[in-house]
Amino acid sequence: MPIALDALVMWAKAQVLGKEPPACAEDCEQLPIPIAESDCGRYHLASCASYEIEDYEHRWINRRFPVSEAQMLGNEKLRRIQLSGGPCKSYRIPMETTWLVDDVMRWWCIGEPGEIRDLLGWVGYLGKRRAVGMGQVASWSVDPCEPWGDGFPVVRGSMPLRPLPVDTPGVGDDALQAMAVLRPPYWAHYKEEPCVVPM
Amino acid sequence: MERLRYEFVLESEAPIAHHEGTIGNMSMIMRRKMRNGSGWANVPIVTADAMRHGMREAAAYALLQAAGLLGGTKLSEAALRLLFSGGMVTGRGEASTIKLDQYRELCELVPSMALFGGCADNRVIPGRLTVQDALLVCEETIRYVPTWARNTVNDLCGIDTCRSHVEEVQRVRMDPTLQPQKRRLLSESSEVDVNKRLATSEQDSADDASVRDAKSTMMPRSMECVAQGSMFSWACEAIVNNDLERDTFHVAVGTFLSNPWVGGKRGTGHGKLRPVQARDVQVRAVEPASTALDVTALAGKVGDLFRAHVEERKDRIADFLGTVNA
Repeated sequence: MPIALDALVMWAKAQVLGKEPPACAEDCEQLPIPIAESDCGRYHLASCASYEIEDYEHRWINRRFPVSEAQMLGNEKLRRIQLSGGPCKSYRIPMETTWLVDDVMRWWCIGEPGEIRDLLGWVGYLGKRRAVGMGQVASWSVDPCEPWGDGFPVVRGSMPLRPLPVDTPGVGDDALQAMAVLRPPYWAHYKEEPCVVPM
Repeated sequence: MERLRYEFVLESEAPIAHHEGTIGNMSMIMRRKMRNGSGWANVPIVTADAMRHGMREAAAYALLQAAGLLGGTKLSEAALRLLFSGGMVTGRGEASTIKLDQYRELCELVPSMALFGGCADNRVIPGRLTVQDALLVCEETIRYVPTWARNTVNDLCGIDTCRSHVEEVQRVRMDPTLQPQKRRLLSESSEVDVNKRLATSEQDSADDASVRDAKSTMMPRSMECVAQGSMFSWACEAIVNNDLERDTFHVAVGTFLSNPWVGGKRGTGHGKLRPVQARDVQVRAVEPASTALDVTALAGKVGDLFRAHVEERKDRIADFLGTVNA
């Protein structure tokens, strides 16, 4: 699923409030964020990221057990290190990264632009592998826009721009259906339910 | 809560042999695809993983030194993995029963865990430190290099294409049995075998098997290196919640940059970096008059809180590292 705006804003809110990192999805609280909720109260009126991929790159994730440190600092119980299997196994995992057209992602939402801008300022990186600098955000731009009509900002041209309940008005029959989560954290798979989801 | 971002210009004091793989006997330098004005380019980098690991290692050594654990061989395999690789989910224990007080204790005993993240006692702890690739400052990367770093490099040595920074060198592992004075050191039986092999290799080889059996162990190989004196632009940032986390971040950055080595071939003088200049370093409370930073002196100046914190808890840290599941 593309990155959801309400998830980013809620993460930033948790940082601002000094919340400790959750051990599991059940630990996550629903924090108040400056994005409007739907009439049914089941999801926020914010889209997922909209972008086009221009190119791909293959990279690798490597991990090696610190053998030289083990030789220097290991205690008497540390007599053998199995590098080809088990917990000390070295690995080299392929990974695909993407380049976006114009290096731009777009979201649409209904909310308080000033507060949203302040909170998004804490979001410096998007996606996986943020710790090693991937997904760096060059800048955020929060601007008012003209709604495109019915469905704004979560349905456009009868297609959902975020996971929505299957009975959402305005969504076409050809929209993709899948199990998805309606509110952050979107990785809480136990909360999945039948939804219409963006392509 | 505070977000610290440090930007650096690093110079390679020795050629950098940070390789992504080999083709035959040729090691290729680590490169990253990058958009430039006229299309795409593959530009040499030192990966953020390598730089981040250097910081993690520096922080781990600082912790062990402050806790008095550096002198002896006292660490278990799990403790080593936790401190130097961030630990792993071992599958032992009940992850779902881990409570926040255990997380707080872990971050208290190993302050770098809160920054770097990791996994101990089957609990994955997200980090708050982001490290970027060290990017070769060249024509292809110019749009991604901060303006001040670009100007610094331009003033110091000028900016060239990435191709001009990459050199290809060849090294040979010699076969000691080819030298008569070394053959004299062989035992009698070994000398007979070696002489027989050398005699065979001097004759025309009739088939592949005889070529293989009589082959010299001399091994020529070549590799790409980033040339000495090349400049890199690097940045790291962290979200810190208190003075201890800020001090731990400074210790990790300062200790790493006091003697930064990256990549392979370190035994033959490759991989030494040197910080040239740093900017946007938010340690003005420590050095209020300065906007630039002497990064080599950073750890010594600002690590007092970190060291005092660790020394105070050194017995608990030793106990924890002795029993940790990571």
